[in-house]
Amino acid sequence: MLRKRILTGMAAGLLGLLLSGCNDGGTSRTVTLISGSENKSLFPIVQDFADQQGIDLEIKGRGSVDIMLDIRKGTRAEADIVWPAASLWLELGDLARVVKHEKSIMRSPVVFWVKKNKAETLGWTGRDVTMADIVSAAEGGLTFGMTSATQSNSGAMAYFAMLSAAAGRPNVLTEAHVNDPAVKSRVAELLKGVDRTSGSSGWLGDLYLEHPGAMDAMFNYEAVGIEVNQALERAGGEPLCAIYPADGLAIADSPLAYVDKGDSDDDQAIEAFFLKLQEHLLSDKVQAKLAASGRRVGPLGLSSSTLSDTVFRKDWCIDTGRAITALTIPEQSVIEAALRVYQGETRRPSEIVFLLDYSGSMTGDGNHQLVEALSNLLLEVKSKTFFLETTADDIFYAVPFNDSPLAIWKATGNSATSLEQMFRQIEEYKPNGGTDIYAASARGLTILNESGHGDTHSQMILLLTDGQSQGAPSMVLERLSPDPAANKPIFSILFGQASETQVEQLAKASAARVFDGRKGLVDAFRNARGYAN
Amino acid sequence: MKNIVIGVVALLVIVGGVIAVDRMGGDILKRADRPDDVTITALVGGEKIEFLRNEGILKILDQRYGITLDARKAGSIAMVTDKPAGDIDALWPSNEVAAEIYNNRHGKPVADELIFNSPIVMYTWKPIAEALIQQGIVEKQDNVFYVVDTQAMIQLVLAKKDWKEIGVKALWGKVAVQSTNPAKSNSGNMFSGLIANMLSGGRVAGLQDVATHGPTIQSFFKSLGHMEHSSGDIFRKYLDTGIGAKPIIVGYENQLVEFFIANERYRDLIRKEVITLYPQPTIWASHPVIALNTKGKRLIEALSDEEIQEIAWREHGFRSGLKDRLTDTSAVEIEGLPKTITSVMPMPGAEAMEKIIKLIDPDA
Repeated sequence: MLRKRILTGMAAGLLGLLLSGCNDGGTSRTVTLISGSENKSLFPIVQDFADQQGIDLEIKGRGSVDIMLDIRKGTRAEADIVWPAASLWLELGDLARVVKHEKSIMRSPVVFWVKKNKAETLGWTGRDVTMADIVSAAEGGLTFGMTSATQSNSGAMAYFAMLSAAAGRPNVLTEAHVNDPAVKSRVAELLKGVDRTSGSSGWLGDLYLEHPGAMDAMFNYEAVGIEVNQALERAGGEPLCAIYPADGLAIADSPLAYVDKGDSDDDQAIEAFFLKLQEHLLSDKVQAKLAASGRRVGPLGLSSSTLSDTVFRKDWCIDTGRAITALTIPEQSVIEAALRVYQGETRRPSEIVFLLDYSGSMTGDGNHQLVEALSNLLLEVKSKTFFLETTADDIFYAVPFNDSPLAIWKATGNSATSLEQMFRQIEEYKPNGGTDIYAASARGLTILNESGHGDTHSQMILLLTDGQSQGAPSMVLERLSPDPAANKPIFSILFGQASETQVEQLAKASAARVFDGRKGLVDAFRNARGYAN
Repeated sequence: MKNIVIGVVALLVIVGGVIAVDRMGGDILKRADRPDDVTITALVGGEKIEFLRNEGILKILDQRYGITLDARKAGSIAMVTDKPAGDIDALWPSNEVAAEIYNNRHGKPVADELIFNSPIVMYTWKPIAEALIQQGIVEKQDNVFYVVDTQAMIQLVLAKKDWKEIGVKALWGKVAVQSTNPAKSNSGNMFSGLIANMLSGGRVAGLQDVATHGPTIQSFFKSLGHMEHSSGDIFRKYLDTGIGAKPIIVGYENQLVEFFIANERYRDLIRKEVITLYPQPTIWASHPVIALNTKGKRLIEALSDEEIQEIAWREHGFRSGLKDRLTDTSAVEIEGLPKTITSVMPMPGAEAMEKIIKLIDPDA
């Protein structure tokens, strides 16, 4: 698969070379584009264009809040090009004024997607539904998924809408609302209904598709819901119905922007490529493709006559004629306060078992990266910068392992000292010996099964490993239910020589995911962490 | 850059001699006394970015004045309040108060000169304009929509009226007039000045008026929540996200003119849906270039070029800010554009404006 793509790329590159007569668009380094995962299905359009232009482009999926955090690094940002869900995050992130040439590529409202029969039972079709209606349905047992508010735009917006509903729908949210204990406890109650979260909207869509039984509804973009429905229809599943909260949610405007890091030849080539890419994405041909995949395009507002009713389907409760209200976005200080309250107080607490590879091959760089990644969570000064704060009820276990589990360390969110102490243990432990991820995973399952927190906490196992594992998969698999969504998820972050097949098998069997830590363990760690936020 | 030069030469060779000669016709633009090439770095209000991407403008700047411009988008107020970085040669905010603030904070610049004018307007959508006419707040005269009772409009916001109450059935929520952040961007800043004037009974607000109406001004802007940092951003979002998210915004007259001219095939749609409201009186957004060094001074000279001023109006809707230069409005075929802006009032003075900014954003 990978090889095929490279060959296609080479062919396209060669063709481009022949057509242009010279290849002067290239850069000496890989160009990094960081995009919200809701654009995932559009990545091939971007990648093909880069191939044609002879540009070595890497596209990374990341939530919009994460993109904001990257932009805050200014000229040291990882991204050369960013494509978050909403321009708000660029505005909040661009403290160093490095963002240039920002243009919206397409629009999509954030929608409450509900299983169609549920929507009908609730009497929600054909009438205005407010956030208050959604809140009471959730309080009445309707389960839903959303992305992590501290990582992704759609999650943040859904969370603001919940806060607003809980505060009695004020004109605009203030810090007083956000810190009001009554508002907090009502929202915390609501968030308890969120069984699975994810770091970015596209992944939440995938999660729904893989396990439609896991939730009744989700806050997600209209566009992602349309893609999910298209896939569900092909598979003969029950479609989702789009509920547009009448009193307002949010509209993603998907801006593509260039991150200006300097004036070297490479920078100039990247900027030139960026401008061509933007023009390409805004061309009639590509805009038509975007519209066919459920994005709203056109010059004015959201109700364009060019939207096809075979994509924006009435039987999925999509209404392109309605004026879509957006919630008033609170001031920056309120946004930050609200996100801290979410991360540190109101979200469903998590119980995470970190399985840490201390086999001999981790000595040196591998161990250094592992320690660095965990410092972001466990050391308070760092966790604040990355919105990785812990709630008082969070519980963490660290299990160092080589060919067997070596220890179990426990820390709780209500004690900075216990978190720091756990970090010191992790930091001081020395790698040696072989690798058995199965024995470690089995130990992780035991810890979570016996903790008694299954109903109150988002539980996950997070395996950080660089090794080809010995041992038998059956040791884990035979303890899992055949329904992946029913299991404690075993997420993995890979680095070094780790075998993708081995951890992929565990992830699949437990409705989890595998993250590639080889290009940035810290980011992979944050992405993984988003699934238990 | 070298690659681009090679590419252009190659293209000319391929396309053929005739066109090549035409392309080389850039020489016509060259002056005998064309100065040495220079790259000028300027912080520029977002509303002028499209203008500075205009190839005709870039060509004149390059060929007639030897200037390559590195324009970086920044809010008009932010760029004069913070001390500009060492590599910045000029600032191009969009009001004269910004120039005054610069003067007060950092001392007299090497030079400053008014380049363009554009009145502060509001952009809205047809159903809202109709409701505002019903309310007696807006009147249509000679095809131009004037806000004849800006005070009453402000009161709708302060009284937290629902859109539905004033007859806009399709919209939820309260009446709001959204602007950029007055502490960061010019259009919002000027709008806050206009509001201060209106609350002061329609005369230019002084320090005493600001003290009296401070809390009202504060609560008006508090109700807007997060305010965009740049006029270009809020206008773009107005067009992109539509009536539900952006029912009424504050902007410059030139923004719609520019969009209209650049998007020929959307003109009918714009005529059908978009309405420009002219507050009566309004305030001029003037666009002075503040030169921080001699390079910046060269930018002033270049932008005063007659042809540049002509393109500025015809393609970007900026009325000339230069003395004794008139703007021919018939050159732009957009409806609802007044020939002259007759009812204009000055902004409150710099000191009063600094007070207003502090009220809205204490960190500014």
